[in-house]
Amino acid sequence: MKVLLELVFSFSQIAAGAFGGGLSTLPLIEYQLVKATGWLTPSQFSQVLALSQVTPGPIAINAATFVGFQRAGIPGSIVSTLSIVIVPVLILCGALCLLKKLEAEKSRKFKDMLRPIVGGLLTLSLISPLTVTAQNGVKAMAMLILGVLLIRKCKFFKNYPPLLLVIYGIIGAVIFS
Amino acid sequence: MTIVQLFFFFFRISAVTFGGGIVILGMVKLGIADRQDISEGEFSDMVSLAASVPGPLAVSIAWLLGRHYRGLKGSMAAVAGAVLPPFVIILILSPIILKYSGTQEVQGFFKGVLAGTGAIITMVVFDNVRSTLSCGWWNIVPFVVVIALIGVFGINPLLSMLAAFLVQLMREKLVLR
Repeated sequence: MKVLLELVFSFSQIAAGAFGGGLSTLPLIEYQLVKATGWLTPSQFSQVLALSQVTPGPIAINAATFVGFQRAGIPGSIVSTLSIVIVPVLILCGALCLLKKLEAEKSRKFKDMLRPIVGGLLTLSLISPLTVTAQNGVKAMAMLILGVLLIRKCKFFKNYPPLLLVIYGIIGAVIFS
Repeated sequence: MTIVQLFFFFFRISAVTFGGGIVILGMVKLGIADRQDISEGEFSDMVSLAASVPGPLAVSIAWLLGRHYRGLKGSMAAVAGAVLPPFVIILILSPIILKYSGTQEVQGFFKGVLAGTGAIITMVVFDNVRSTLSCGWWNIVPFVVVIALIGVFGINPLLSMLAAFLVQLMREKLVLR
């Protein structure tokens, strides 16, 4: 029971700060799961990040389902995933009650103010994949740099990034084992 | 859309969309483009609100679109449709990954995917930071505040974001009158 409450507490905090969607949530997930609770090692966190990139769905939900399962089986994955869903829904309902009608000007201003904050979070989301990849060796770093070039120059990978990841995963399984 | 249609509309999109976020919004927009029962303006208001609240975009846009068609029940059906595919997929994969995460092949796979993820995030951060910082010199202040508080001082990201937002509010009140 205590484990479930801890999961709810951690993932509710992640959900409450998940502005900007997707990658900008990573520093919050990392803080809660690696630093505040110690549930994951930095290298396990990078595996969760990699897993979330080759499976459908938002990173926060992928991480919640996986870590919830790891900590407390199926009940753990259910309460963690629900935390990621219910907190935003409550905030959304609160916003809908407060704003009788959506004022485009205010909403735009709010988002403009959030923008550099989200940019900072995004920048921080780079730290984990870069440091862990550097630790994984020269071959991994070479793949990363090649990947940047591929996404930049090759329209195919630019349009379907998950495909690049699956190919990279298969290459990785071969060259790192 | 009926409640069942709402569920499957988001189920279909969520099952094939990797990474979540903005890609989801694009798919939803395509999916409702030919419908007469929702206008472009109504949808862009929803996107605007969905992007102003925390939490996965898939969840907030599903909630709002469900509400538009069928009220509370519609919202719940749409969110369930959006959350179930990633939840079920990770739930199936979790025991397999936990069991085999020690093997060289699985670790190699994740190392490869992580290198590719690092490449993708590098590109996303580069584009985002460049456009964020180029739309006003002031943006660098909250940007640096967030990175320093979380990255250097290790403060809870939620509090750090709040601090950076207060900085934004103070500027709003004091400087831009």
